[in-house]
Amino acid sequence: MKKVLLILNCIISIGCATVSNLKPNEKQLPIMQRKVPGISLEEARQGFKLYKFNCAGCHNLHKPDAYSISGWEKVLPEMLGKAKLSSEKDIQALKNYLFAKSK
Amino acid sequence: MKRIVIITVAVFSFLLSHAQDRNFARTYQTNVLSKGAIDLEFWHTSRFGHSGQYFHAQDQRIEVEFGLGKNWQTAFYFNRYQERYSTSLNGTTTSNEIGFSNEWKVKLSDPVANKLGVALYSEWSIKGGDELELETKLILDKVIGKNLFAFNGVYELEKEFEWVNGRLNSDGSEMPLEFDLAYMYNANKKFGIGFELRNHNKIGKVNGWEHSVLFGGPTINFRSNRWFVIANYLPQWGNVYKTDIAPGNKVLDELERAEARILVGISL
Ligand code: HEC
Repeated sequence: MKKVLLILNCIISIGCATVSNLKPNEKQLPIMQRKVPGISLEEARQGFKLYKFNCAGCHNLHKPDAYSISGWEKVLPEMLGKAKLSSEKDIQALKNYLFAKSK
Repeated sequence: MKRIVIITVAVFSFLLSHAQDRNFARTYQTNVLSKGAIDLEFWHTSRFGHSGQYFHAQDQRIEVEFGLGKNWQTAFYFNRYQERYSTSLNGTTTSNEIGFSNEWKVKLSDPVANKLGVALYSEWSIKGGDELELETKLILDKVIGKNLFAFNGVYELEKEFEWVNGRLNSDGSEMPLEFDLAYMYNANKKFGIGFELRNHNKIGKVNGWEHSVLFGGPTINFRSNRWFVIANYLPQWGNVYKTDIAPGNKVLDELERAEARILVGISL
């Protein structure tokens, strides 16, 4: 039983504790700011959280760098509607995150 | 069944939004609905083929799923179970039962954003008024481009209750342990094809580990903006852990020769 719990613990840690490759970090900040001037790490992380919680319900997440900014601008109006996001602030944070991490 | 078909068609023609992207008929993925989203699913499972006996079981479920936000999801099911089997050379019996289930699921990590998608799942059911089932699952999945991999470890506890002289008595309990492994190639937005493997282990209080049976078969998935349909055919391959209780190459008294499931989903 102990062994089973240990294995379970390992599996869950692989999933949760590994820092996501999509999560914005310090090192990426200059690159992100080139695409979205003035974006802060905190704001980008907030956008990432909104993305994870709101955009993986109907399909798996699409990698942000699968699209250019103009590509995202094309799909986002429809998808924001589908995700029923209404707060202007949330929408802006989500957009900024995707733009900052875009192709 | 007829009524389910009519309801399905009716709801289909009225609804114009997309359902949750479920890919497999049996194996669960870590996806949860986003907050406020509601999904409706219709399940039909046929199980058939016992040795030396005509046997056909049909399980039907109607499921309503709710996204609760923060990666939590709950669902309620209404279930109908029908079994038809031969009792003698030319006699058959049909038994009908109904049931209710409630599931809870929480997603801990994402199959795209993290190295591994992880979710925990638990479901309780009452069946026919005298049976209680508890099911817990560990769900893992991973997306690599168009390839989707999923694994479930499932632990069940089934307990039957009986009123005897005004007291609630519990006789048998069963603790099946199951592992599901699934792969799907999502060729495009509308279509995926893959297979599911199921390993069912019966572990009883009295007799210990009785058998370990492998099933496996193809799954196809069609989806559009408004709905999805998933079909799977799952024949029994064989018993890989033979015991005195289950000495044969296959287990064909408690389990079936094959199982077919069709699942239709729409979003509200
Ligand atoms: C209610 C379900 C639903 C939600 C929630 C949802 N999507 Fe979608 N998404 C879809 C469907 C259906 C498609 C495929 C059909 C289409 O292209 O219209 C899709 C396709 C996409 C595509 C691929 C578009 C293309 O043509 O290549 C992207 C990118 C996307 N979604 C991003 C998002 C983002 C970002 C969010 C969160 C704001 C989101 N989705 C939330 C249903 C949803």
